[in-house]
Amino acid sequence: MKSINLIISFVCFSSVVFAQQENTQYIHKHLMRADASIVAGYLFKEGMNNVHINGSAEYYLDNKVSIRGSASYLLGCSGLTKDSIGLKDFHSIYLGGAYHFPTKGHFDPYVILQPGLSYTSSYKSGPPALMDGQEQIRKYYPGVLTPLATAGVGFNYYFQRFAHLFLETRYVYAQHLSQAPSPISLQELRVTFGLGFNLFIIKDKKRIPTA
Amino acid sequence: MNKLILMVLLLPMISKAQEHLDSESGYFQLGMRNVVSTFNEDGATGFGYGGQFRIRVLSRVNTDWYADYITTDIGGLARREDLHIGWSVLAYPFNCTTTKGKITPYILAGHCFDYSKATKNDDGFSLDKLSSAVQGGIGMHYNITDRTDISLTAQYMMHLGKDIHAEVEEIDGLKEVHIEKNQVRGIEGHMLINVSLNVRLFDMWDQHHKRKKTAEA
Repeated sequence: MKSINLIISFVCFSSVVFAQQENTQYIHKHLMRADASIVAGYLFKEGMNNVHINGSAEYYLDNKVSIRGSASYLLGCSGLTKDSIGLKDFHSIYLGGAYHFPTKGHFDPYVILQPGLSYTSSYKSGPPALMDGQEQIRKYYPGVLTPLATAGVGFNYYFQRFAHLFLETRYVYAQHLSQAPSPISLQELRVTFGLGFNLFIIKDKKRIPTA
Repeated sequence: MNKLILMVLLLPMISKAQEHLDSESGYFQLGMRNVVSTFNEDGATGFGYGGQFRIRVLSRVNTDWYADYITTDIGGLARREDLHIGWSVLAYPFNCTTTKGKITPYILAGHCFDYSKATKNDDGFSLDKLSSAVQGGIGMHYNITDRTDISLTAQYMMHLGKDIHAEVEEIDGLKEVHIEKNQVRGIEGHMLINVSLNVRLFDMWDQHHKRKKTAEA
């Protein structure tokens, strides 16, 4: 009970501190943030659902532009294409930049462009009659490298000195081309949210006022 | 004769060396890009990913050093992979200052080395080639801020070497793909359109600029 009270007091105290600085934009040069989250994805051309785990690190070059590197790992994919092809691997790395819209506080909306490269592999699911014990027989195809483009919108809310909340949705464009009988469209809509951590790695002498 | 050629080649550099350093030159930019390859002889459109760095040598001249990886679906029966590593020189004939919210158009020309591989989906049969290419085109930077831009470039790339063809044929309603390699060296061209996001990271000639400012003061 004591610890809960302590956490509540800590969060409230942080808000009071920030309430005094509401006329200036919180984000500025040398801010570093990182997050790890679960991502829900939907391959809307194929009607398949994905779950990824994603990690990002971002550095603010100034109060409008940041560079972000991310990596995601496919935890699972449900569904098959029309040709009974399933997705086994869809692991990606991205590097790109975000434009942050000026605000007068701790709210940080942005748009992001992050091209990337992914490792993808697929399998063909055998007819339901072909079972090996309880498991359906699958033919696996070798993995390939797949270029991808992503564009997203989202926001961070820096509610505390070292932590923030974030929400992001992004569109992914790619196509899995392998030895599988037909390509798989990897056009995906991804949504993620969670808690991130932030730190000003170099302290500025004065805060940059919002234009 | 060789000395004469060398002197002719070095002459522009001598004249450039006398140019004053300006606020635009010397910047190192890093960027990532997505590429669309179209108007191939295969008739298919490829999509790729790449990155580049730029070193701006003069206010009106920039250099772009890039690498691309492009994959192309050929009728759902085969796939083609292309790797490009090369460089281009960008010239700014009009506006050459980087101003937030403004567009900076440019023309470019350059050279690249490339590796291409075409693979059949059903049996994994593949052919590959190494060649070099020249490219030229136009583009523009849109300066989001004073240090960040989005660039759109359209360039025509001509590969010089033994080309690889992947042709889809339909026989009695069944589609088949044939992959062939030309036995004679020739020119094969395609259009590359890329969109990139670039960030100015640092001024490579910082000390020169500082000295110039001090001298002016």
